[in-house]
Amino acid sequence: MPLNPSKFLHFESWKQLRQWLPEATESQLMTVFVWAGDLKPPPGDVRWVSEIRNAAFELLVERTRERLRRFLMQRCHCSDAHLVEDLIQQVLIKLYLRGEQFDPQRSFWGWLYRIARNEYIDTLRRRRPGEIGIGQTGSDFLDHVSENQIADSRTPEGAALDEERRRLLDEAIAKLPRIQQNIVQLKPDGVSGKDIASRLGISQAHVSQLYHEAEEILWEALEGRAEPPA
Amino acid sequence: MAHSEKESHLSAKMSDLTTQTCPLVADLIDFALGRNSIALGDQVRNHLLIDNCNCCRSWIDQAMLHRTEPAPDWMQMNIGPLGHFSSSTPSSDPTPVPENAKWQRRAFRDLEARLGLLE
Repeated sequence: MPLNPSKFLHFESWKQLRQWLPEATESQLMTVFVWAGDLKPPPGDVRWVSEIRNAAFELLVERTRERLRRFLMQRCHCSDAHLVEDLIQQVLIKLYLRGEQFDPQRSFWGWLYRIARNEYIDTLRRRRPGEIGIGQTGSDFLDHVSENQIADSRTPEGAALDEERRRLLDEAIAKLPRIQQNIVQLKPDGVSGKDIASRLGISQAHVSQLYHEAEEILWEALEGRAEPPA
Repeated sequence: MAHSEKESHLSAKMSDLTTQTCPLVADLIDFALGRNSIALGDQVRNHLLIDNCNCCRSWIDQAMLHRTEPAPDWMQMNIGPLGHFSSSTPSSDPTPVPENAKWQRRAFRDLEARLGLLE
């Protein structure tokens, strides 16, 4: 029986699909995880479906934990190690329970990081209602990039760094899904969210969501790769 | 004492302490939500109780926050969050439990269940 988790993924057997899983990207793992969860298999295949689904999720847990930890500590400035660990588990549990909300057309990491940020903000609000502003959780990254570049460019070393950052940023933008590339390129040019939405034929809220998800990915490309200080 | 317990809980969570015997995270979440088959549920329960695995226990504690109905009593008694009291009186402690303490425990369990529903 051919197995088709998506338009682009085709397998001849469960065994072939199972063996391929470690090579899958995170987005593909998520696609397989959701697909397996929706299947109504014949009794003989139930065990396979369960194994594939759980294995896909286990790989996602393995691959995302460290990056989520780095994101929460460096990007969201969460310095409470206990809270970071709770947040990572909460994010991954939400991934498990609400996987069907994942849109394979968008970046997996952007989506995951937005879940993590929202979980962090919700937790802070529960602890300290009324005190939490967006700036406190490290948002608006792209707004700061150009300011930092101007400051850096005053010295030769700064100019070289600026050049390097610009190269990394361009590379990261080129890897974004097309729709997010468009938004990231239009927004700094001063085009309003409403106009972008109109040009792309999507809602303004969707533009905002895609822009913020892109921000998280671009942050990681520029700042998030380094290990946190010990 | 409380501090060192907290620290050991954290280190268990921070390091990827999954062992050969640790169930998959998906099985732990399903267990916390009461979705496992009986056989798999027994396997998870044995792992928690016999291996006393804090790493898996913390997954279950977090996933239990997503239960839409109160957890069964045995689950709260045996694998409640670390640092919470145990519902059963330690057999080595001969001190009788006063009536008001029993009432508080019931109320606390009820509160936990309600908070779980709110989450």
